[in-house]
Amino acid sequence: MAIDEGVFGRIWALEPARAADWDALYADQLPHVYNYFRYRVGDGAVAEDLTSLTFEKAWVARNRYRRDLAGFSTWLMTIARNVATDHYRRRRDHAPLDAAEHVAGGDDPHHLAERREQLERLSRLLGQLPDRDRELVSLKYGAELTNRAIAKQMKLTETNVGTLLHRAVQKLRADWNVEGA
Amino acid sequence: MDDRFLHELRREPGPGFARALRERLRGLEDAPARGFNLMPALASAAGIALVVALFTVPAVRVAAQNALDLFRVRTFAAVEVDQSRLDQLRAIHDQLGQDPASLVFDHQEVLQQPAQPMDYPSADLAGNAAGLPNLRQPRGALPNGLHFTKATVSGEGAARMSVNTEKLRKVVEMLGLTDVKIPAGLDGQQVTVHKPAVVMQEFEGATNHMSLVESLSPEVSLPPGTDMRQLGEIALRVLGLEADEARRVASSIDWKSTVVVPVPPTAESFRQVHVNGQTGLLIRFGQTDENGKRRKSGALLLWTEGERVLAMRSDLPSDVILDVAQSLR
Repeated sequence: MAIDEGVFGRIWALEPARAADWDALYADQLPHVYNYFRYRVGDGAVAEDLTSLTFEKAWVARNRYRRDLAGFSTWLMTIARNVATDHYRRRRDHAPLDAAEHVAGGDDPHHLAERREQLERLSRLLGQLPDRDRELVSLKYGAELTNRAIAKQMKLTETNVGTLLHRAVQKLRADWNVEGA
Repeated sequence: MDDRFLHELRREPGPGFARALRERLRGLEDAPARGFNLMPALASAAGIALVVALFTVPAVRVAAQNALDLFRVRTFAAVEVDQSRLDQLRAIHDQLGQDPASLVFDHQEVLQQPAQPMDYPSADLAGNAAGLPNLRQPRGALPNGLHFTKATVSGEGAARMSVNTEKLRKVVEMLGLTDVKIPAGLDGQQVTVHKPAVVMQEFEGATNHMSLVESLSPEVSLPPGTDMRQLGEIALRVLGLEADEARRVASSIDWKSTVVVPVPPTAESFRQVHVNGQTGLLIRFGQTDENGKRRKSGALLLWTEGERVLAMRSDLPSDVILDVAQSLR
């Protein structure tokens, strides 16, 4: 095995993502990254800023990305998670999601108001989750990753992810019921 | 509350936002890449970026007492890196998803953008294009039917970066090196890397290949008075040496001219050799299958001749590679 393959094969083998793929990748991945940040940091404007930062970092680093487009979403989500970590290093408060806008609830004003209130409540509870639980929920429901992909991102086993997610959702449910009682 | 409800907080990015971001990225597409890909560029220059690719500042060291802190490659030293440390470094690289240089540096400013690599039909043409007249070339027939196929010139480039000690501290923490202290006053210091033009000659045979890389030494300019021996010691810790050993090795190396090459566990052996009277480093590699049968082997030879840095890599036996290197004129 050549030394570059043995030591830095991954680095040396990095090639730019093909330009022609970028539009498709962008369109495909933008909602996942954006919603990851919405669940992770709450505030919509901040989520947009962090999404922009993630894509800009990815683009600047494109020359170092290997031509393995199947792994692109994993790579992008790794960047997004680092961006989120940096964000929290600078600012510890967790904003609630701006869930009140654009609520889908049909035309019934009463139902719409109720739905909006529920989503606001959920976003508030999400902001109260411990950091790791919120990260898990953000990856699962925001980025819509599979448990396997989350396990890879968080260096956990798939079973572990399932268990932790189950507990996180249980806690959300419990808090929901307490608030609603 | 069910899964469906939890999904309902999702929202499509606003079309205005999506469009504006895409436009901004297109603007970045039109502009030259923010930095030339420093690591592969240096790597092609005789494999010397093996160290640089880890952590450039700690790996390229200059004696603190020198007024002009300029690094030039003159010799190579090898340090074995164990698999667990390599795995850790790879995990950090994957986790941070960044160019290795950006693990330590901020604000890479390209001072000279290298031209696109260009192929030449002869070594002489390539040497002249690269400003490397009298390029070293094999004289006489090469073993195993190897013959020259092409020479590729990678252009000269330069970049300036500033050290971010917070990033370096993070890497050190991620490696669990709790006793390592990052020198005060390092943050924001600027490092300038100049990568000269590089020529890579390639040779192919029916069953073997060989490449010969030649360039002038890259130069790394550091802030005067930087205690690079101390940084070298940190680099050795990053590579997995224990504190005492790192201190001892750091004290014994001339950091102004020595590149420390991390040798991975996949290497079968490494040894100091002499090439035309110059000291070099020969690293042998081999792969075995599940039955322990040797499947593939090769070697990398690194050495300098005067101002020039050379590297030869092939899947030929290491002794044959050494013979070919000795025959270069």
